[in-house]
Amino acid sequence: MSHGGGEDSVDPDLTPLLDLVMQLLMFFIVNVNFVKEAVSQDIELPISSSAKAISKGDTGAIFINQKSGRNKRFFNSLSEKNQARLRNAESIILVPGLNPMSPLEAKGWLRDRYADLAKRNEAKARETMIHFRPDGDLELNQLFLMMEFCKAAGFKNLKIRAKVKKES
Amino acid sequence: MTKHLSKQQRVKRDESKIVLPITPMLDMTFQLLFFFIVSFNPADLEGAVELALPSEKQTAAPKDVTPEKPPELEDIKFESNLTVKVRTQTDPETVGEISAISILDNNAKEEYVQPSANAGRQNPLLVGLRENLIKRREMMSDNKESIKIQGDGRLKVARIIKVMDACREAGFNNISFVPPDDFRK
Repeated sequence: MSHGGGEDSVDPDLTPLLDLVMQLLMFFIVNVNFVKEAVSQDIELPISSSAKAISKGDTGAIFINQKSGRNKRFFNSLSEKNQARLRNAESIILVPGLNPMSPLEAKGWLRDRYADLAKRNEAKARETMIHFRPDGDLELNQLFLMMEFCKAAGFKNLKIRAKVKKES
Repeated sequence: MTKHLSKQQRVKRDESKIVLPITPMLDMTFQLLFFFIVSFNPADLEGAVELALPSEKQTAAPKDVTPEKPPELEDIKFESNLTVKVRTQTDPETVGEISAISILDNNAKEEYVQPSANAGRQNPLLVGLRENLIKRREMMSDNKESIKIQGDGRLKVARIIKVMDACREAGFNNISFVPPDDFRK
């Protein structure tokens, strides 16, 4: 009986393992999303079983995120300056790139925005889509108020966004 | 005939082999992989709620509207068979939640929805609403499946969306939201 001495070393084949590592890396690289859509992470959208997925071709759309002004946790997360300005606001409008606004401030902003768009192209301004992203706890009054302001400014196409309910 | 290499030639050949250090490259690969795993954040799928907003043609004669000014939301009348009214609580603890749901038909006859006994984990009022609407829809003729939903001003948006879902599950696809009674008051 002989016990084989120096020929028992087993070198694991790393090639398939590395192939898998590369596959994983490619998956995560492809799915990374550095620049989120113009949405606010503070908004907890309502869930709807009838919400339909939107095609991503809407590059000129305006996103209006709206949070209830009674949400103390969110209100306290704002800067002191914003808190002083929005203390009496029933709801807070969040548009990416701008400071949080009260509904009246948002009304003025919408009017100016429509005027800017209309200067370049009137027809395109009228067709600009407004995506409302209301927080689930937002009061209905406030949502309708913002919709009215959008219509008064000249925007005709409005959509309300919700999370698509996953079928279990 | 075998070719014999001289000692000098053999040394030169050995010296010209370039060995690529793979280990640091693999370290970098794992670093990258770790970064992307940590920053991976699959977002929930968002969609648009399909609802019918009033067109300009359905406008009733508003009180004071100049040609340039679009009509106010509350001045616009909706053609609908049924109206679902959703009421909410007013006390600070439960404000915004559904307290009662009623259905009005075109004869202004109002019927309060009874909570369903078969609701399970769902809201009994919403299940009761769905059951009631299914019965009503069976008695309707075709092409009369429009419904409007009106909630109290302080009702939460999430609750009215659930009411809309219940109406859609009952087979009503043409759903309109109308402003609350206390809107702008």
